[in-house]
Amino acid sequence: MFIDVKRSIAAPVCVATALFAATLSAATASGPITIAAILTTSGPAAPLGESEQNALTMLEHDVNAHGGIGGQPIHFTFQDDENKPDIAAQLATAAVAGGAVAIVCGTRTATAIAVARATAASSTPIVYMTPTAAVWQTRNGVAANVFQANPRDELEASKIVTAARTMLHAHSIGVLHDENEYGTNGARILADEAKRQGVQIVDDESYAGDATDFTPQVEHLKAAKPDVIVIWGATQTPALATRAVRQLGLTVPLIGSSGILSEGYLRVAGSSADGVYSVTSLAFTNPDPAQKRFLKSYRDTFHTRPNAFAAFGWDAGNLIVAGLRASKSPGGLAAAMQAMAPVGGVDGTYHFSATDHNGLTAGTLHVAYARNGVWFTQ
Amino acid sequence: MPILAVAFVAFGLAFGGNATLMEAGTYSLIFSIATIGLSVLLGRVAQISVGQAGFFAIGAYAVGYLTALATWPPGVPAWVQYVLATLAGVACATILGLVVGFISLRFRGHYLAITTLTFNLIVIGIIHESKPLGGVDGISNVPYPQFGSLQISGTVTYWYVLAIVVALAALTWRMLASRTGRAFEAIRNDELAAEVAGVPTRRYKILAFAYSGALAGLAGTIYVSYLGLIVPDAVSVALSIDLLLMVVLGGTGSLAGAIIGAAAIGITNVYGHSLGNLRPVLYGVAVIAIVIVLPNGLVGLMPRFGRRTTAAKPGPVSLRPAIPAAAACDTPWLAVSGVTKRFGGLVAVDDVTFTLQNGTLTSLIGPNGAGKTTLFNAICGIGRIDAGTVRIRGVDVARYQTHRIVALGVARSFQNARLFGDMTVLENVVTGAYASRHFTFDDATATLRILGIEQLASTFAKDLAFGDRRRVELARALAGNPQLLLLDEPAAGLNASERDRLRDDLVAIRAAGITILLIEHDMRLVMEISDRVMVLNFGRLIADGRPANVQSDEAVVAAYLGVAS
Amino acid sequence: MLQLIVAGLTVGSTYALVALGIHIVLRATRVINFAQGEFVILGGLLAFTVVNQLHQNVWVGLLAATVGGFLIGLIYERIVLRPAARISELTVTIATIGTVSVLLYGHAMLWGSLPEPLPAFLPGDSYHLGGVSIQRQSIAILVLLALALAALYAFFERTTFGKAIRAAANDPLGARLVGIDVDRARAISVAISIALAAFAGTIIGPLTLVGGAAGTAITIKGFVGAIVGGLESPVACALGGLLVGVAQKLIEGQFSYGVADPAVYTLLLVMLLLRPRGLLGARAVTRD
Repeated sequence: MFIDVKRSIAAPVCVATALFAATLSAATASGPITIAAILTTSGPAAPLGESEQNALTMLEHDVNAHGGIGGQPIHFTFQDDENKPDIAAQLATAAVAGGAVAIVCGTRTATAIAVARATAASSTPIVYMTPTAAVWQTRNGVAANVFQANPRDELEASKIVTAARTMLHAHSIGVLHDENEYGTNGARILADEAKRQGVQIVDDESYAGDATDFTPQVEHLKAAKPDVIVIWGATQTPALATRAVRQLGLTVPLIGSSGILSEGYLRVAGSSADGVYSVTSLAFTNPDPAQKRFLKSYRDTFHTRPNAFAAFGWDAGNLIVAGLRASKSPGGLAAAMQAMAPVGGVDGTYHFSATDHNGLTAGTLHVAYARNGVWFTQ
Repeated sequence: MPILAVAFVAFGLAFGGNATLMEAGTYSLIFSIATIGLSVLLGRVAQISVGQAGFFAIGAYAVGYLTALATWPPGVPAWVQYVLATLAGVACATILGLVVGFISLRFRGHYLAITTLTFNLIVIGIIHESKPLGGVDGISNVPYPQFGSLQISGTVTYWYVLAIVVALAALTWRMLASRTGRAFEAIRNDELAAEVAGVPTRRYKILAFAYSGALAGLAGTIYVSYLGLIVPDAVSVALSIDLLLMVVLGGTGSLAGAIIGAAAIGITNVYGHSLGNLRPVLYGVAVIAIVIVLPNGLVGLMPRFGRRTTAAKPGPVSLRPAIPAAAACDTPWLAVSGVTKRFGGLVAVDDVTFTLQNGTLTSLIGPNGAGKTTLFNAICGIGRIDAGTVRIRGVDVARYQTHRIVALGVARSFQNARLFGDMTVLENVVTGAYASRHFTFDDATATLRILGIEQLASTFAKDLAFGDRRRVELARALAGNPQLLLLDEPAAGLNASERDRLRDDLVAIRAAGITILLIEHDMRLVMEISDRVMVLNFGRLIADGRPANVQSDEAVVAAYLGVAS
Repeated sequence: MLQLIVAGLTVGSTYALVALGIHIVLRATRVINFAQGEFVILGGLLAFTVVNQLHQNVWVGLLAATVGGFLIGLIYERIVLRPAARISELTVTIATIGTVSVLLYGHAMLWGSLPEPLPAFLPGDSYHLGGVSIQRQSIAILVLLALALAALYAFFERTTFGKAIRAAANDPLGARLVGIDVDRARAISVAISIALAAFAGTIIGPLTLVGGAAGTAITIKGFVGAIVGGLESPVACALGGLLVGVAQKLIEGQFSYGVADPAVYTLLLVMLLLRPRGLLGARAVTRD
């Protein structure tokens, strides 16, 4: 009986001791300011999370090289939420308990929602990186501690439809999207925007993240005869979809959401990516000084061009840094972030308010196009 | 088991302030609700399910939808919504469990695994396509359960779920210690023997599925209101596999093991988090290793993991009790008419007709492959006959399942004694009286005493010597108080003294008025005790009459007996 | 519609090879290998490594993946299937499910996230015949599938060793009595099956992103193919797999994409309930 009791609680005891020790070390005020980064760095969304992580690492060096925050260095602790909401929630709770002042999260929306709920009680500010506003714009009002570092779906949709209408003279659009929440929501918002601008959506197709064949979808699109096809997806599956569209003989112009703006997409899509359009805040061809620095720094450190997700990651971290600079004490960080002066980021200028926790405007997006394996902006 | 409960309480009290540990503990407890159900299904009834996430999903989506999205008539308080939603979720999961259980009756082993996996995939596919259920986005903003001023969130959830787990564990424990548990155990050991002992195996297998489904659904209802959201990805096949891994890791069939397995993985998920993908790889390796090397899982490592013994206390020593007398009956106990059974092109039993006289001992003899065992199977409802009727006490048992035929008062033994190896002799015998709810362990001891094997009561059936196995099977058959006894080669492999004892037992059983039909090759025994002998050759009855007449029948001699030398 | 059939045959080739692999393992060990789909993914990854790290061309990659699959299959049989089989069939089923976990996350651990396809086997544009566009890779896939089937047929029907393996699967005791090493026969069968899986993963590699979590779905769809064709005959299994691929694409073409998977799975359940011997097999005759 005695032995049984020992075995039953041995594990929790060991684990608790370890945690206690960790908590002790984290609590010392003279250490760095800890910001948790709960990203998805495994599974299908891994390339997104990895880009975000790269950007944050770069930001950390940058900030600390310039004296940190009032002399104190910052430190991002990276953790993989495996795209599982319950893991994300637990990691968030652990992070807050371990002394993190803020959290960068939400490579995908479900994990962002979970982290938002887990931090609601402690009002630790979180900044997430998906285009859905629903995480801070909930049924119960604006979530005070949740901020978004991403041009919203609405902005991208607006830019895409406008480009289709004015630049490509399209009257009808066929949509091809990821079947996950990013693609499905994007397609829905695109449809709303198209209706507003008087462009007809003639077909809406989706494909699975691990799809290898897109023939039925493309055949449906061909039959619908759209003037333009919009691809709303992220990671490399849209690249396979692009290949399929061209291979099956559909020659109409293609516009993708910012999710396709990456080197990986170009590599996988190969020649079928030539002439494909996209939208982005990163003006590759004519960057403003802040973006120029970001582009150069990323290229020098990681030897590849950044993609849209790296930009979101940088902005998310930067917003928290700005908030830390603006606030008097970490306790009021969320309120400080909401009230602070506009912050310039890679994706544009963020201006939060009590009703707007996204703060970007449409002017920050450019139309991009691919030529010979390189992305350009107009 | 109570130790585990104490441990969790202590854990909760000690680390109540540590949100991380509390959260990990809460998720562990939520999943252990599901693993308890799966452990019973897999460990006690030997039915594998790789689709528990489907039931989990139903519970989660029911509560998610009903508490977050559905509009209720005004004035319905939140806690009523939550309770009704939970009941709805569990009810749906249970019903689906019954359906899956029913479908699963057709399958065994890996086919069953595939079927349950497919069920999981279908559920997910439907959820994906369902707009009201949020499709890919799932349902978010699911409120915490609110009972008056008490909100079940944070640390409170830990205690809430712990209470539920303790209650469920107690309930399951009681179920397993009862007749139901013995029925499960019998099915797991030898389904056919269980059916022949009178256990309605199909019913129990469906019940086990429904129970595990209900528990998984309940776990889902708590999960969704704790996390606040449910997405299709969270209830994919990966979760089904995880639940299976937890059960195997902790110890299949053990309640404590189910909880320990869930806790081990739940805690490692958070604290071993930095190991990244190595974690599930290690789980997989651990499962493979455990299933091969350590079948009792982690629980088996604990020093005192033993079965609850059901040792019968030997009652007062009395004279050898008598076999209960058979009821007097006018209708013949067994009337077989024109029975034919074919396997593809082979006719195993060909138009056999006979009626047994009550209270007599009839022997059925014939060369190997003549169809004798097949005839027995036909009488017991094992496999359908192609033509003819079998009447047991006047009742046409054409479509009856075996356990129903047994409940009419029939008992049967097998060529290779089919015992429940992991149960003691006493438990084997008690199971034989399944149909009689009033049969006690004392009655079982008495039955053992009738056959003179009461000293074997606590021995596990798999440890028995050969000769004893047959006697135990006979005891199990007698336990059901049968009026018609079918014995398949009871003398095979017995030595001379065992044979004599068998002869005496058979005579005593007949003296009690029980009708006996015997398949035998031991001619001396047959001639000694039979009132009537029937001879089967190539499925046909070629002789039927008094022993002496049959022995000298030319056809019988040519086919089977040979000339006496 | 023809275009959909071409797509279906391409996708169905993977299912056909998986069905075949499942059939072989089933015959040899009497258990379904749940991890079959994971080995398909592994094959693609092996080829990817050979092509990208060792800078070989893609045909070398195919060979390496197939041989690698064979060797891995031998190890798999020896350390997982055989010890588990000594305990019970249920144990083997659980062990194969555990293997799914090991491989699924093991892939990610060893190769990270590698969303990239293999280079095409036959570089060049697609062919266009009568309004239907056929990728060169599709042709390569079908040809390679046919070659694999022919090779297996030759092996199992014409060589003594192949016949010995079939004997050992049919009647282990009898096979032992005539001097066949049943353990070795079983090991070779499993190895061939895994090699087939790796082969399948490689030939589909240029059309997909190697790695990923599609293993379970591939296993199930392959199993559907095996059931539809009828578990008894290897050729029927392969045909069943192709049929499932075509059916899937036709359903997707007719309705929407999301309906196809549940439809295929429901088909599986219906088949298992009504015609477990497949469309091409006889009605089941059950002995007790």
